[in-house]
Amino acid sequence: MTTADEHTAIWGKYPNYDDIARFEYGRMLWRRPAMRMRLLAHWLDERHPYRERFLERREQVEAVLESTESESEIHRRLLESDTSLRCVAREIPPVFGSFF
Amino acid sequence: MPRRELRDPKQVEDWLSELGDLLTGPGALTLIGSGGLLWHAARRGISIPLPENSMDVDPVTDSEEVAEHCYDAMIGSEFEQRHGWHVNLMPDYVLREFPAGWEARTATHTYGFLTVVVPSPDDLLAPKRRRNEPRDRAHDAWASAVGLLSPAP
Repeated sequence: MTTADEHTAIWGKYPNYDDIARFEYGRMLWRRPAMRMRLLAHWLDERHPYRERFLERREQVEAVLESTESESEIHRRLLESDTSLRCVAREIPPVFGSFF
Repeated sequence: MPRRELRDPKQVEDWLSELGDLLTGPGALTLIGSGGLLWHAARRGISIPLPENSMDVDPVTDSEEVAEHCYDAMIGSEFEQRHGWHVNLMPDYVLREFPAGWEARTATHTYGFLTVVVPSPDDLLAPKRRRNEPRDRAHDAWASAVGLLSPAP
């Protein structure tokens, strides 16, 4: 668990809980092979409006989801690549609709 | 035809029972928001509906199996078509919005393999009181009217 200061440094003063939830639970469920397959199939489904966007950023999103590093470590590594955990978490597509 | 949206205390307990029956091993969740208020009402046998219906429940969990079932109940899911409301998983960071010591004031109940932890009604209302939108005030007034809140010191 990160400290409050670390959390603010990563997610900002006004954190978006939906973004953080997609990161936290996405990472949790990525560990379950069957769930990982379902998530990928959902995000790549032609009906998913974020499909194209996910395809453009798939490598980065998958790297974050499968990482075993702490939030702070991921964030620091992403900063070195001119992005941030907050930015990549925003790119994790949502799950919704009857086709999941 | 099921009731649309979430307003009756019993709806929350029915969902938790359903979720508990689905689990194959122990799991836990912390229920916050108006769903938590409805849970307290249900446990006390209160059937007065929540004003300003809710569209979702907000659980926090560290259980993979619980999270997986919650993903099956997200917005637009078959679950939502059946129940009229959906599950919106929240990150554990949101629990820091509660007043200090909230963990010691929770209520707990078990449904099959599922352990449900719910902050006290007063703690659940603290973030709503800070936000103070009309809907939050309506939920606060409802909690007070049905007797969920602690007497003022």
